[in-house]
Amino acid sequence: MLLVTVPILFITWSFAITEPAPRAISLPGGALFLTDMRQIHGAIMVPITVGFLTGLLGLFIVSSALESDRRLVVAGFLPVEVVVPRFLVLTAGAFLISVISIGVTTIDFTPASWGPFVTGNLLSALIYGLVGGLSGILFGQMGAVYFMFFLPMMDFGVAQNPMFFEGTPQGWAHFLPAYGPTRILIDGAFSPGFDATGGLVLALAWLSGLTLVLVALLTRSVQRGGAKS
Amino acid sequence: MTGSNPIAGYFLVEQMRNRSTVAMLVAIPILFVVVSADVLGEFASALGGSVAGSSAAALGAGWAAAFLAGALGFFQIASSRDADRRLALAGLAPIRLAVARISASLVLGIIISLLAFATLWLRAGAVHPLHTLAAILMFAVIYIGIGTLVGSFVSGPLEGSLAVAFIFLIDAFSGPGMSASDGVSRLMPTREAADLLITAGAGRTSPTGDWLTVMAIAAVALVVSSLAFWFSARPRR
Repeated sequence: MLLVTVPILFITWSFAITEPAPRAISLPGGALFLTDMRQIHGAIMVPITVGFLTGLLGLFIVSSALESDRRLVVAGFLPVEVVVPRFLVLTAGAFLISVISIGVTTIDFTPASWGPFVTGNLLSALIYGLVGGLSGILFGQMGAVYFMFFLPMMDFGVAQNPMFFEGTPQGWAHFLPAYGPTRILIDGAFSPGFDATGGLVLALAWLSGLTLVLVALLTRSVQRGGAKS
Repeated sequence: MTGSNPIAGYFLVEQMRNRSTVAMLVAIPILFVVVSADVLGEFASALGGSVAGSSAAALGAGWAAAFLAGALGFFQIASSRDADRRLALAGLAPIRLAVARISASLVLGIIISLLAFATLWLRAGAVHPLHTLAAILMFAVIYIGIGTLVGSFVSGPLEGSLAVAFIFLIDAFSGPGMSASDGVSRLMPTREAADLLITAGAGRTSPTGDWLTVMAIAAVALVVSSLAFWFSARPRR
């Protein structure tokens, strides 16, 4: 229920409370684009919301897997048979959250180019779902919750947000997982063409790398549980 | 505190045993204050608010303490629900259990507040350090109450985390200095504490009545959350 209501409230409310003050931002490809703070806040609230929600979803899916999937491996299931469904659930959750968030955004905002806008948001959701899952393994549930409360807010909300730093992400923001997907969706939000190839490559690299690492760690975790018993 | 209530000490040790949790509790307030100090004034301006400069940086420290304290309060209760019910069934008075759990959260909340304050002081300075620290602490106490309240009624970690985050974001973005809007924003739990923090950040002092109001809100948050915890942990036939 909250996974549905939170995007609706957050995004609608962000449009409502933001002043339409003029703002120039830099688009991928280097062009400057004059828009206003309300449009930028509305566009950037989508990845903030999907990043935050899928991050927590990934974290709790993996936490739950660590608790119960070891027993399934002990009972005779192959690690791949327990790990793959977890990824499918995470992917389905990321799609659902993205669809709701993008759908709500369209009430107040129409992107210049739908393809990159949707792609950027989906990549944001998938990448942050994986980051959430990894943090669950690395930091434990409690530490990971603190981490996933903090990281999406700082990454999407501050580092990549064109509302700050004169409309251009600073150098350190390029090393964070949201850089690639945010450049794609900002391009889609405000430009009819597509100039975010670099962002797309970077986002796909993050997605592949995080998937490989999470599959490896999750498989090892459930196998180790099986071996112990 | 641990002398008068050794159970709270055990709960505190339980929390501090996980090194990752401790690392996050130390690192996040510092990083949050450092990063938000540069952008909060600009963000407030976009929302029609007026907070800027050192007041905006101070508000960031209050938020850092609040969101960590909210999560802390929630998990202190939700993650130990079954164990607490067994303790209550074994004869430990639920209200004593509630006081111990909330006391453990308060100790951690004080540590988080001190870290946020120290970072703020080093990053942006503080003209009224004691006022600033006290106001940050009020944010933490109020959110420990909110987290505990949510944890008393919501058992799922995902649902509870989302509920705490939802309350925090609405509260933070519609608070004083951040928004021109009135109406429902006047009912937000940290509105008065934010006023104190903004005033202290700007180098001014707040009237005693304002401090008493915030202390009353913090006390109500703790009492209501203790009662909610007692209600959820009491043995049932």
